[in-house]
Amino acid sequence: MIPRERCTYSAIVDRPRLKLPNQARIVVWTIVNLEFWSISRTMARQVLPAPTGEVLVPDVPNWSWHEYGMRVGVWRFFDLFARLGIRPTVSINARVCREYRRVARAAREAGWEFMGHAWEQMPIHKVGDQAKMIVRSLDTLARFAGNRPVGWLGPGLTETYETPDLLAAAGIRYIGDWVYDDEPTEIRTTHGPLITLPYSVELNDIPMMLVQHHESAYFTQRCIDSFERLYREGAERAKIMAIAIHPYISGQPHRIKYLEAVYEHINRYDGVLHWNGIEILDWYLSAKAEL
Amino acid sequence: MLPSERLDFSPIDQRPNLALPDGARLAVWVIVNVEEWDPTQPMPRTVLTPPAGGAPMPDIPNWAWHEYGNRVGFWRMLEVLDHFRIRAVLAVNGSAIRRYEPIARAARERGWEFIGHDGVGKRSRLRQHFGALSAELLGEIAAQFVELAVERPNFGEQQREPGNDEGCQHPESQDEHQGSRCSCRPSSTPSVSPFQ
Repeated sequence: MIPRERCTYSAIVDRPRLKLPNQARIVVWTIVNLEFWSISRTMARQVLPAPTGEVLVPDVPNWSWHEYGMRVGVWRFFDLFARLGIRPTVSINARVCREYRRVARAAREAGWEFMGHAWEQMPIHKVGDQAKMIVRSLDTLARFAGNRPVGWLGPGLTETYETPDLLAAAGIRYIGDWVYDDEPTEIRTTHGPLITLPYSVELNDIPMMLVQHHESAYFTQRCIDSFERLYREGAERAKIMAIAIHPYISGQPHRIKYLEAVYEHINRYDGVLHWNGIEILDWYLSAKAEL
Repeated sequence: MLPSERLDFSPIDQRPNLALPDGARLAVWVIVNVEEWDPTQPMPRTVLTPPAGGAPMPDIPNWAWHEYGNRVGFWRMLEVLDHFRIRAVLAVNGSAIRRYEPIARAARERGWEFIGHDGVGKRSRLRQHFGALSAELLGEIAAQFVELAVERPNFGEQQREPGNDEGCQHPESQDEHQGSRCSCRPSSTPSVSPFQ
């Protein structure tokens, strides 16, 4: 199914207004991405191109750059979110539960929500048997976390035309790949409706830092600019603001303070909820039912 | 025809001076581009590259990123343009008129000018292949504009008819920017077909 067959166009101004509980204006949804990069393939991202620009395998420098996030960077995240009392959603390659058991355990112990994020970090188009990979990933996460994830984010948000059908068939209830709205929406699949949550490619350290090469400090600026506008609009209708981060990017010593500054700013406001994906999903389904 | 066959070279300082009416110095031309991106084709722009590079198809995340503009972003820009009473130009893909009809209606209600901006992705590529904008394609795009113009949907009692702006109601914009002129213009019928 192409996207148009899953949903029709809808202008946000034409929809009934969703409301958050207790006059809250905005939900901040923090997503920490934990990945496994196989040394036997091209690295998912590169900080350092090889001399002459060739893509080489093995690519040890870029592999170890990502590895820094799991060894060092992610512990800055755990520390920050423990201090703030925020329990993010962790978008996690299932293989992380095996290869970085220590990290996955810390996320589980901190009460973070586990969201499916494929088996390992590669475009879903290149996965031979997608249905099998999805089930295997969810089974692995379910065994590790104690409950089966209800959310899914494709690696790099990638999907084929069939992916939403396969996800719904595997019991997934929300996805983050459709960054096309400020609000959750419902799309059609061959296995019933699936909810999209407004994940972000704008407040996301990959496009900002690795694709657009902004200075570290710009992360704070863009998040605050988005927050202030959405907070204003939140007086009229519920707003959701996702912040998507990766330990090998935002967990670097020169970037972490700019992430901290975002939450320092946001938490000065009343009516801000820090929710994970399941909480947003549950609220949306009940708010929609009341319309 | 090559561009050089269409006109002779002309350095700007050797031409007679054009003057704007009433001593105005500058015309500001606001163009809002509304497009439809075909999800079965490579995306015209991308914000996010896939893991390990390449261009796997379909490209759902970048399709969705563009779609955000039509679902949410356009309506923020509309607020800004309404606030300053600027009637913009809508450069719109022919297919987007029907696909994103609320946008086209909002622009028509406000008396914006419509300009042609091709069909939709696949057709644009066809055009590139054959090197010409076929009469058939032109006709199809024009038909979309005409359809919009003749259709009279019921906008309800609150509808503001195009061309109701009776003089400038924005003294503040003149106070704030001394020497500038408010963009409120006398009413006129929006041009609905760029091909007439």
